[in-house]
Amino acid sequence: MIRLLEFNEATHTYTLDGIVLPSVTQIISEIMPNKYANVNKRVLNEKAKFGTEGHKIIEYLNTSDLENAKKHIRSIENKSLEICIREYLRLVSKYNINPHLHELKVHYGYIYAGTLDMIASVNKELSLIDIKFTSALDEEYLEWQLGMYSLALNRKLLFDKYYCLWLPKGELGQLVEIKPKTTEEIISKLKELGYIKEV
Amino acid sequence: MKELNELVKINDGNEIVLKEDVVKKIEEFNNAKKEIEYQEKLLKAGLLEAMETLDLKTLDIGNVHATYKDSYVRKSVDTNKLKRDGLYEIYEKETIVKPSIVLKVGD
Repeated sequence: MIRLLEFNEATHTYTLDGIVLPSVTQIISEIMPNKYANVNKRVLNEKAKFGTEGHKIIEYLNTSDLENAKKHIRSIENKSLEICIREYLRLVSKYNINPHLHELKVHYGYIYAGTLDMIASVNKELSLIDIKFTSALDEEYLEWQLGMYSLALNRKLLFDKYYCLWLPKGELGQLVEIKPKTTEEIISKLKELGYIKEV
Repeated sequence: MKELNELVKINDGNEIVLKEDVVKKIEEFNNAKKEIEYQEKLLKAGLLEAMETLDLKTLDIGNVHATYKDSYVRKSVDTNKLKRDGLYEIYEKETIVKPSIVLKVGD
């Protein structure tokens, strides 16, 4: 049976066959509730806007022609963002990253849904990648995030590696390997939070 | 109209007016600074890798003098732990800071 996963951008809501599903972000915010507790809301919004713009540029950037991609990004008005995207291209070239899919919406049954950033080959190994523009790298957050996306795709794809393409503003980018949470750890946490009912 | 200095005025409608060409120049300067700082970071990262590969401790190329610094353990005080243990407040002191402006020109 084909299930139809829909996403409402305005309300940031996923629905599957008309049923509203919690997002991966929403569930992780329950697992790690104090992550942004001390950050000013205006600053948080500015950072979110910067990240959203960055993700959009990367999604539509053709990296099979790096020279052309480099020329294309010179037109980005925000200098800090332009540098972040140049760093992305440097890492693409250095680690032989070949993106296959961007911004793929996935769901784990009727339990949760989310949008993964990228499925790519990294040095010829099939990898699940999340892109972050944050000033600090929260590896635990990524362990949950990549673990949950992977679980949602488990029956269709087996990944060799999991990475974060970390592109912090004003710093050099890094490709950081992440060890995602296991299926058992995720299921146990989902039960603890009441997303999966114990029978 | 009140002129606070050659760059900032308050007009009769109580609006703050800035000298536009100077603001533009500051924005261009900030972008150039970001570009140069980025190039410097790239240069340092490349030199670190090159000097490790060739096992060099110092390097002189024209005006560039690079010194390789070995990894070391930096010791610092864990302020979060001090706060958790209720000790931070005991050693906290207060200083009056003069008012200032946080200026962001451009992105």
